[in-house]
Order: sequence, then structure tokens, then C-alpha cells
Amino acid sequence: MLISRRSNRPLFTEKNDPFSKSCSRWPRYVALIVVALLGSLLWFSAHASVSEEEGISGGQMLLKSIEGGELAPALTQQSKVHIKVSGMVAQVALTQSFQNNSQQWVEGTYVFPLPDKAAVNRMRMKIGERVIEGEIKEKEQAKQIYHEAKAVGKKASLVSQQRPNMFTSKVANIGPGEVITVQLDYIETVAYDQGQFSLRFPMTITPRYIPGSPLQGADSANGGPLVAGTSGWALNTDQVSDANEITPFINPELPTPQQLINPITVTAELDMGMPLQAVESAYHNIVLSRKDNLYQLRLATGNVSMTQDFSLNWRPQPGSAPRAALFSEQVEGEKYALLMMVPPVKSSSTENEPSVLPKEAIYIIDTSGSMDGVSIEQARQSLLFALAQLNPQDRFNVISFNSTTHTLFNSAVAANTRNIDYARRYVSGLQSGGGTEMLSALQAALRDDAEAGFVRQVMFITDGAVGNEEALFNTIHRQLGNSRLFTVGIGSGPNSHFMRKAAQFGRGSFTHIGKVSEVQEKMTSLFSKLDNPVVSDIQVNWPQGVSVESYPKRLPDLYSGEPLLVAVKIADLQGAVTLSGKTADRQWQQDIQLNGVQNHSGVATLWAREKIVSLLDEKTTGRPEPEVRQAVLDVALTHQLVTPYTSFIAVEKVISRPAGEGLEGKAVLSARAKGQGAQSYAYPQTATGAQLSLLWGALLLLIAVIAKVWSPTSMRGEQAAVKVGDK
Amino acid sequence: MIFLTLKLMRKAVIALCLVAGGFLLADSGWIYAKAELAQELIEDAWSQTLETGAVVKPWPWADTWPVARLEAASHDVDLYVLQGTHGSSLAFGPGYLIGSATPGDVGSTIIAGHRDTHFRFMEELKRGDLIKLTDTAGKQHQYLVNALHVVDSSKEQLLTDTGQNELVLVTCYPFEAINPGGPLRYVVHAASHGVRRVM
Repeated sequence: MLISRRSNRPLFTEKNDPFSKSCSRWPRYVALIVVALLGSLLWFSAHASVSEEEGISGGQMLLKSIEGGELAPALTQQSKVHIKVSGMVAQVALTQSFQNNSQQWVEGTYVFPLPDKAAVNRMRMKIGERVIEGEIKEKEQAKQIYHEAKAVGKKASLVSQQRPNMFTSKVANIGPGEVITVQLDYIETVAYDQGQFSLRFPMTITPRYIPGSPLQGADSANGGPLVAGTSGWALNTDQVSDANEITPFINPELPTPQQLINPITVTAELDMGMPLQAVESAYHNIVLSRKDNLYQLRLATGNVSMTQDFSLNWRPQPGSAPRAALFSEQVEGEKYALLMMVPPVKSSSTENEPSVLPKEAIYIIDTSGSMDGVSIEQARQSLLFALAQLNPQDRFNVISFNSTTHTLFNSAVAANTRNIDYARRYVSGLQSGGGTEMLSALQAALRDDAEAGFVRQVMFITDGAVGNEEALFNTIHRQLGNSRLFTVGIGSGPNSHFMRKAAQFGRGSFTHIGKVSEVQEKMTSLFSKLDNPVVSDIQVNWPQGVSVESYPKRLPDLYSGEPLLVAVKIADLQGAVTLSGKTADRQWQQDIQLNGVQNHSGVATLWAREKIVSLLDEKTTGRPEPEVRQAVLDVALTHQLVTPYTSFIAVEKVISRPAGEGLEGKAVLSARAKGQGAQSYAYPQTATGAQLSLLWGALLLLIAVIAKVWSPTSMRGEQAAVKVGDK
Repeated sequence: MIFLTLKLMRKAVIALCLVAGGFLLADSGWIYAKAELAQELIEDAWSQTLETGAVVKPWPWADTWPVARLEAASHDVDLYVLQGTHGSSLAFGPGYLIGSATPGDVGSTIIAGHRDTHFRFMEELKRGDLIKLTDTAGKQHQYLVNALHVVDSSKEQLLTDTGQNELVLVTCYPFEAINPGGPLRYVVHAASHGVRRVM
């Protein structure tokens, strides 16, 4: 259309047109180039649509079944979990039965998830009617005992921790047709937020990204090349030295109601000592029965495949929601207590609650090369959203960094319209590129302290793609002062470990935004958390003169509805403990009597677990690892807990595998999480915007040419019109 | 008066279109130039990696580094593959999907590239084509193309544990689409065809 019309114009007939003489010659050349560019683009597009029709139809990436076509896997595993909740404490018994369906002797390996606050404190191995009690040992020692037992043909099982929420069971010398059961007991605290109790039993492990380059000789260190069925899908790397152990293979088959994969039965009983208003399971159908204040439940279908977490929520009758609770336990002459309290702060669902402290908000935005593409857009949108949330009485600043750090204002400024507009323009113009020098940006953000009467919140928007996490945690820990650090993870693969721990050391929280369309929702929920009155400077004062050891050492700020949980080892349970804290407009204080506290088993274990978590954090804050390891070992061995440094080991005394019979290694394949592909990753973005820029560029040049060329006629017309008017 | 305003407006429109158009063309050119030039710079880093076995960044502020060399002689293709499939590595070369199998291991080694720069040649690939992938240890893994698909990335995910030793190349589809954000991907599977030591 455009082209044919233009060819009718006197563009190329200079002689006849006096106006075109005054035009320079450039339009011709530009026009030619533009026509060529547009033409080629149009041709390409047409070509593309043809090849699409030519036969490569939209297909699928087909799953290839495991070679050999084994119908019944050599080793199957089924689990049974019984959850017993009493007050704030859940005691869980998990049994895993390993069945050898083959004619050979088998060693089974099973990587499975547990709640990340689970304190695993007992393990038993059952062979038929025989029960062998597991012992807690230093991790390497336990491994050694296991390997020796395995080699001589004794039945043995080893349970170790790979990550706080990922464990491995190994069972050696399962005879042909035999079943060996491993029973694990663990204790955890029940979550309590906004008057609702909840508990989650995880059933899936989402495949993890393994950064770094494979270690030299990673293959041989693991005893030859990787073979599916005995180890994970990743090689150990310089950054993840145990990659091989945390990447279990996923069963390519999908479970069906007839054929479950890793079937599990779930039963639970809740005894809160009060009538409940509702008991709900988020993803599974349950059957519930009640006897006074005891609620019992089981899965409606009996068992299910391990494809989706079991999530249970319950809430007390209105008005009977507990505000404080204290449980204690005496173990070997030591007294332990678990204290729960919801600060007496009304939740401000009404808008403009006057008790919200004005804030000094420091926004750090990562503009490094790894943020290129949609990430930087997500980051910009998140930051613009944050700027829009500022109140006139707030103060703020913006820091951007890549290879260097740039601070928008010398120090925080008032959040008036002018400053916010200025910041909005600055943020909108930010581009990605360069390195990821995070340290100086964090230092710049944490350099100043808040002015009196302001809550200082640092919001860090990044993909966390850095290797120097330890140094960063260290900086946060040392320089935090009275600031709070909130991390906002951007992109499809942010460094979650960095995000979560940085937020913890920064006394804030972690939000993950995976898509531009999530910005609004995720940021809204983060801000509603931030804008409700926060309870800060929480102090717990134990009775004078009584020796106490309480965890966590650094108490978090509490957002509306969140309870304070403290585990303590205390010399004497007498007198009262005083809790205090403040919100924007007032100080509060509350006493809780320690006398006559009800006894509750598991409290000592929970205290030990809190102590271990606290010790492991000290590794990050600069305590040398050998020291931390020793301290953790002391607690773990006393309290019989699985940790990064301790494992459970059980060995049968008799030798069962005859000499001469081989042993085959088999891994239990994890069931694929519901709605997830087999060991799957999102497809990367694999096109540039170059063609789009090219097209727009060409179009604009074309418009310029048309404007230049068409004007003579129209202008002559206008001139004439003006002249007529003059007459 | 009217005449003057119109003339000014015309000039403004022309100037604006020229500047913006020129800028966009330059931007587009810069993307192509980066894709070409970076591969030259990466060459040095790669030869150092082969010698020492260590990770060598092609330029000091790089977020990525070469992890393999990809050759398809029949299509005149010789590219350095970079670690990771994020935007900042794909701008400079095809990227190795972190978490996918390392060459030679059971599972899929997945490499993605931009359809309009490095992986334009994927359009020409056909069954039986030989692709060579040299790893950092200097081992050359050979693959033969055995399947070509188009997938919808909004509905499918990339699989790595297919139980086969294979190479999977991924790029956007259709090749000549103007809009870079489309959901379709062109996926080529190549089965292992032996290993040679080249140095």
C-alpha cells in the first residue's frame, strides 16, 4: 500500500517539481534502505508462517521410559506418618518401608523432605519383628560404621541430613523379597499466625539449581561415572560440594489412582485442650472425628502418592484464641521451657492507623548484567510500586548498583511529591549491565542510622546472583544497627538461600517475585505486613538471679498476629518472666507466671533444636567452623538430634547376606510434584529484541521520509489558501 | 501563521522520527554486534580454560564464562557455550542450562541460544546432522540429530533426566517472528555418538 502510493508521487521526477529541488537527496537513499529493510522483514515473517504450516507441528517433549522396561521397580518404598499435636508441639512418627522385589540383595537410598524445623530425635530399624534402636553418631563415624556393616553383609540403616529440610535414608542388605522399615520420630512447633494454627508435612523436593563448575575428578571421587539409580543427577561443584546428594532422580512415570508412587498414609490427632472452630486440610480430603477436645483425622482415600504437601490448619472457637502459653519439661535434672505469646497489639485492618511509625525507607536496586531482560523490568516495577506507597511523613532514598554504587540523594529525603517524582524518573531510566558489587551498596544502605521516631527499612531488590554470600551476611550482621532488611527476590532463579538468610540477619522478611504480573500482589502483601504496627525492641526478662539460656538470641520484630516463641533452659521455674516491647505510640509489658507450668514432653528437644539453629547461624557471623561444629556436636549428641554433623545409625548384629552374593544399589525415585514436569526447568528466553527495534527503526525512518516528501503538495495548498485569505 | 506552525511541526516530526529511528536501528545493530564480537573475546578465555581446567571469565565484569565449544561443521557453526541461560549470557553466546546433565553423563545436556543470533542455524538442522561438543576437559562429545520438535513453553517444561545421554538445543520459534517474547520453542534432540579426545 504505502509503496505503491508513494511511487505515484513526483518523488523521483526532480525536473518537474521545483520543490523537490530544494529538498536534499537523502530521502531517496533512506527510502531505498527503508524499503529494503521492511521488505526483508516482511519476507521473513511470511517465510516463517509458511514453514510453520509445512509440517513441524506443535509437538511435545516426550518422556522416554526407563530403559529395560522394568515393570515393577526392584525397590519400592511406602510411608506412614502419624502426627500428634498437643498445644504448640507436634510429635510426628514417620515410617518408611523398603521392599525388595528382586532376586538380588539390595541397598536402598531414599532422599526425602521433612519440615525445615523438624528435630529428628529417634530412629529405629525394623526387620520383621526385630527392632534395632538407632544411635546418634558423628556423621563421618556413622557413615563408616554403615559401610563396614554393609560390606560384611549386616543389615544396617543410616539417616543423615543434607539440608535442614532434606534428609537421606540408606538401608543396606535387604534380602530378596524382604521388607525393612525405618521409623523416624521428630518434634516441631506448630505455626500460629493471626489466630490460626497450621502444620505442613512436605512430600516433594523441588529440583535445585546447582551453580559452580564441576570439581576436578568429580566422577571418580564418587566411585566411577554417575549411574542413574545410585546417586543424584548433578556432579559436585566448587560451590555445591554435595550436589550429588541433594539432587534425587524423579520418577518419570506419573502416578495414577491404581498405581501410586511412594504411597503414604497420613493420620493425625489434635489435642488443643479447647474446642476447635474448624479443622481443614488444604490439598487432601480428610475424614475427621471428635471425642471431647480430641480431634482425629485420616486421609479419605487411605493413602496417596507423595506429590503434594499435606497442609493442615485449625482454629479455636472465637474468643478462645490463646494469647500466651508456657510449656516445660524436666530432663536429667535440667529444666526447659517453651514460651509463646502474642503481643497485646490490636491488628490495624482499618486504614491510616495512627500507631504506624513513620519510616525511613532505603531502596536498593540491583542493575547488574544478570538482571538483564525481564528481571530489571520486575525490579523497576517493584520499586515504583514501593515509591507509590510512601506517606508524606516518611523519608526515603534510592541506591542502585552494578559494578559501582550510585546513591540518588546524599542522605534520606522527605517523601514529598517533588522528591518522589524525581526518584520515579530515575528508576524508570535504570538499565542493566555490568558486575554485581553488592557489598558497597549494602554498606551505603546500612551506613546511617534512623532518626529518632523513624522505623528504618531497607528493601533490597535483587536476583542475589553472587558468590560472596558469607561476606554479605557478615556485613548485614555487623552494620544492621536499628535498620531492618527486607529482600525481594527477582527473576525465575534467584539465590533463595541468600534472600532468606539475608532477611533473617536483617531482621526482616523475604518476598519472591517470579513474574512481572506478580509484582502488584506480592508487593501489596509485603507492604500490608510493613504498614501494620510492628512490635519492636522485644525484651524477655527472666527472674532475677536465675541462670537462663534462651533462643533465639536475637528476637525478631513481630508483625500483626505473629507470636513470639522463645525456648529456654532455666535453673528454676519460679517467679514471673516479664516481656516488653513497643509499638509506635506505646510501650507494653506483660508478666507470665512460671510457677505451676504444665509438663510437656518434647520441650527439651525443641530447645536443643533452637540452640543448634542459632549455633549454625554463628558460622555465618564469623565464628570458625570447627568451633561451631564442636558446639553443635555437644548439643546433638546429648539430645540425640540429626544435624549437619550427626546421623542416626542402626546395625543388626547378625550377618544376613551370604558371602559370595552381590549387593545392588537402588535409589527410590521421588514422585513428581503435582503439576510439575519430570526434573523440569522453565524454558529460557531465546530471542532478542533486535528485530523489533529494527522494524520500529525502519518504520520511523519511513515516516520521516513520507513527511519530508509529501509536504510540498500539502504546503502549496496551504500557501494558496492563505493567499486567498489575504485578498 | 498557520503555515509557519505546520512547517515547524513537520520539521519536528521528521527530526523526531529520524532520531528515534536511528536510535532503534543502532540498538538493533548493537545487539547483533555484541553477539558477534563477544565470541571473539571468549575465544581467549576458552583456550585458557582448556589449558588450566579453571573457570576463566572473558572480561573482568562478566557474569558468565565459557563451558564448552559447540560445532556443527555442516552448517559452518563454531560457537563457545557460556555458563547459564540468563539474558546476560545469551547475549554473548549460547548458554548451558545449569542443572542439566554435563556432557557425557546420563541425561540431557541442554543448551539454549537466541534464534536471531547464534542459534539461527538451528532452522537448517535436520536428522542425521553431526554436532560436536567439546567440554572443559578437552573431550569431544559427538551427537547425531534424531528429533526436532516445536513446543509451547507456557505448557511444557524442559526435562533433563530422560535416562539418555543426549544433547538438546533450544531456541525460540518461529525463527522470523518479530516479537521476542513468544511462547513457542524449537527443540532439537541429538543422541550420543561417541567421544573423542581432541587435546
